[in-house]
Amino acid sequence: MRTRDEQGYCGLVSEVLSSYLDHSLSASLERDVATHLEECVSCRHRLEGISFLLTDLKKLNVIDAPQELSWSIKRAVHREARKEQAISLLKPFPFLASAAAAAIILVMVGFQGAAVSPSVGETTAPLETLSAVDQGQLQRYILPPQIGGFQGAGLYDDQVAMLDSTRSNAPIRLPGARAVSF
Amino acid sequence: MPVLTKQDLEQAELPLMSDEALLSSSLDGNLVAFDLLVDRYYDRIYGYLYRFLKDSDMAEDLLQETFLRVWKKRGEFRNIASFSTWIYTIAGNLARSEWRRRKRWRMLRIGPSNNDDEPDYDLPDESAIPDQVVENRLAAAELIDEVAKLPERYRQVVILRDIQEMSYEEIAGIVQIPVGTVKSRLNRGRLILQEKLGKWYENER
Ligand SMILES: [Zn+2]
Repeated sequence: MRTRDEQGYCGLVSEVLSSYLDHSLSASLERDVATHLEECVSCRHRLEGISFLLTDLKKLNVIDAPQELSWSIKRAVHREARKEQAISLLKPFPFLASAAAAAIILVMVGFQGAAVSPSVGETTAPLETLSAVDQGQLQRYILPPQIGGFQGAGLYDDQVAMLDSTRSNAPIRLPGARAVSF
Repeated sequence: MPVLTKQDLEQAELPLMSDEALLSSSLDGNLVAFDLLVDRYYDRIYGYLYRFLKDSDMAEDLLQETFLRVWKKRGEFRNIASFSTWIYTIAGNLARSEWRRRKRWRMLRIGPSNNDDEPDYDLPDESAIPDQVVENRLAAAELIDEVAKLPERYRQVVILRDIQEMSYEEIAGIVQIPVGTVKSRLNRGRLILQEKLGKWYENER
C-alpha cells in the first residue's frame, strides 16, 4: 500500500527497515516493504547503509580480553570461596567468627606475597595470638584440601603466583576501590 | 598404577557440561566448575562491558564484580532463564549504574558542556581493538565512538544484537523488556548510527 505522502511513507518504512533486514516482519509487511524498496532509491540507500553498518558492527565482536584478566577473576572468586567456607565452618563458634574473619583477611594478605603489602609482617602478628584456635586447624578451614588440591586449581595458582611475582606491587583491584590494601 | 576416583571422573566431565550444570556443581564449592564458567564467559562479558562503557579499566573492574556477584548469588539462580541471560543481566545492571553514576558526576561538575548523553572519557583505549578488525581504522574508531554515544537504551540492544549476535528473545530476557520493544529500540539505534556514519558507507556503494 502506498500513500500519497511519499515522505511520510518512507518514514514509516525506515522504522521497520532493520526488522526487514532481520527477517522479523510479518509476511505481508515484508512484501509491502520489498515493493517500496524496489521503487524508492532513498529507502534503498538507507537499507544498504544499515546493512553495511551491521557488517562492521559484527567485526567489533572480536576483542582480545587479556588472559590474565581471567586469572585475576578466578583468584578473587577463590578468595571469596575461602572466606565463605571458613566463616560457615566457624559458625558453631560465634566467639571465634569475628576473630577468624580478621585472620582470614590477614592470611589472604599473606598469600598475596610480601611484595604486595609492605605491612604483612605486622598484620600477621594477631594470627599468632589466636591461641584459642589450633592454628593448624584454622589453616585447614581456610584452605580446605578440596580447594587447594584440584589439579587444575593448583596449576592455576602457580600461574597466578608467577604472574604476581612478575608484577610486584600490583594490588588486586576490587570494584569500588581502585587499590585495595587491608 | 593410579586408580581414578569418582571425583576424578567428575572433574574430567566438567568441560562437557552445560553452563547451568557447571553452576549447579559450583554450589557445593566446586571451584574448577566455576573456573570453567569464567573461561567461557570472561571475554564475552568483557566485550559487552567495554563496548558499553568504552573504558577498559572500568570494564575490567566490572567484569570481576560480575563474576563475584555470580559466585555469591549462585544459590539464587533458577533455571527459568539461561545462565547466559543471567550473567549478562548482572553485567548490564552494573554497567548501567556505572554509566548513570558517571553521568551524575559529570552534571555535578562545574563547567560548560554541550552533549548531554556523553560522559567524560579517558582517551579511547584503542589497544583493545586488534588492527585487522575493521579494515578502515578511522571508520572503525568512529563507529566505536558512535556506539558509545548512543542513548543507553539503544546502546544496550545494539551491542547485544549487532555486536554480540544474540537473539531477540535472549535480549528481551537480559534487558527485561518485551521482544517488540527490543525490535523498536534496535531499529532506532541502528537508524541513528546509520545517519551518523552514512558518509563512510557512501563510498562502499
Ligand atoms: Zn522510501
